[in-house]
Amino acid sequence: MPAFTFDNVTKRYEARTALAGVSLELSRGTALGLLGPNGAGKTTALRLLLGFARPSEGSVRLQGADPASPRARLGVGYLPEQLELPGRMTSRGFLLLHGRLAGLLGSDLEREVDAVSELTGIAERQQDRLADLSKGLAQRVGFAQALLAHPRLLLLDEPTSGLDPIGMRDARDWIVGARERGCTVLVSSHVLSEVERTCDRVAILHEGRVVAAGTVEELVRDGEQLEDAFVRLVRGGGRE
Amino acid sequence: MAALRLLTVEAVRDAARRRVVLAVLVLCFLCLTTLDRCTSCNASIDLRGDIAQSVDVLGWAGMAVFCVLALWTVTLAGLLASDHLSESLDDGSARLVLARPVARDTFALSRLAGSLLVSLAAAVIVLGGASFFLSTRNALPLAPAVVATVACILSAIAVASLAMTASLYLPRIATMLFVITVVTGFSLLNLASLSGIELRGLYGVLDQLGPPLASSIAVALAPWSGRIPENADVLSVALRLVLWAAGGVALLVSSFRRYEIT
Repeated sequence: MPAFTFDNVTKRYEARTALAGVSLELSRGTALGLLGPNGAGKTTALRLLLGFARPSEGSVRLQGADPASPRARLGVGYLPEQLELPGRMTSRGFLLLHGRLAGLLGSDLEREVDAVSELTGIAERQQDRLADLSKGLAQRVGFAQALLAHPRLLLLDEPTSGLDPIGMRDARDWIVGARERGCTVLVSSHVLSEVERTCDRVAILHEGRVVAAGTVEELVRDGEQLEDAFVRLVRGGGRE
Repeated sequence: MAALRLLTVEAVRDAARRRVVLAVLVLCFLCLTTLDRCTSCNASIDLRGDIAQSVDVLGWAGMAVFCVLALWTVTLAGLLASDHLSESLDDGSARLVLARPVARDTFALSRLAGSLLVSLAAAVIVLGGASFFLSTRNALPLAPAVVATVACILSAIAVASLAMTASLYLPRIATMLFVITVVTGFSLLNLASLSGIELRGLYGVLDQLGPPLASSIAVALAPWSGRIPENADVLSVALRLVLWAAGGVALLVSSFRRYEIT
């Protein structure tokens, strides 16, 4: 069973079409980079995947189920693009809540919260209110909640947003670490190098359509970097 | 159920962190202090030459005081609910919670329960205090107050769930105005009807079919005024109140199921 499937999905917001006939599938254990310029439909795709919105046409399946069903979201870790955290909570309180929602209890919960806090470098700031954290630290807290309870599927929307170069490298390591544990990963990003280093497959979205999909090697021509291929495919609208 | 319990506790904690609980406690304290003063005297009243003791008219006075306090707690329930769900959508916490294996119904109900627990605690404190003062100092029976408190709780559920539903589509100020308009409007219609004014047309329909916010409390407290309401009236009002409370919750759940989270 694939981690998720988009079957000819169209999503319209009144007059605007955010996604137009998108078909996409992600096998378990693989990592897909969803690339595209601003407004290409990447965030809309993630919203549909999590059941935050419903497709206007076509169907989306997450772990074989309707994304609106809680069962579909079992073992899913999610980091949104514009991470807004409940500012009045402490980092630890926030992680404990999400750990419980992910099904952790008792000493397992405490141990896991300590482990992800240590991994993401926020262990010293656990008692701070989320509103008092810098953007980079807040992003680390967001990563920590996404990594809680060893997710089977990690959905990351612009995961390195707000991180400094050290944070970006750390984030890459966390994604690679999750993959090594067998986690399926979807990374939506503008940062091509980040996708190139963490994903084995790439899908390029432009104006709501998938203009190219495949491994990096399949998309890149001789002498090209992924960036060159991206520009070529987006400017050509996928017409080759 | 575990997720509902966990998220309800979190919703109450959220209200506490926003200092809503503190503000409500201060309001309750002020209400109880005022009640204490109002019920501790027994003035003589000149009624067209006949001197009456205030205890003689306390049934009506107690009814009026209880009604005002009950409607205050119903309004409070609506106002607290008016941003308890929308705020979690705005501050991003809803998105992260709903990315977990949590049903939308569970999330919406937990936010409603969280805000209601705060306002119903206020109702119990204020109405319990009023009942205590009125029964111990002025010898009014407790049973009508208990029934009126139950009616107030059902009204609070109806208004809070309608407010929470409205908050999905309206800005915060508009939702608050909606709550105040609904509570004031329907209460005035109910009171006008109870006082014998014949309501015609739309006003009559709203009074007969709308939530019986004031009439349910007035009917419950009728024994204090010495008037025993007819069984048919009591049944009709009780049924309407239960339907509005259940309908309000159902509307919230179904609206939130269809709501697109951005």
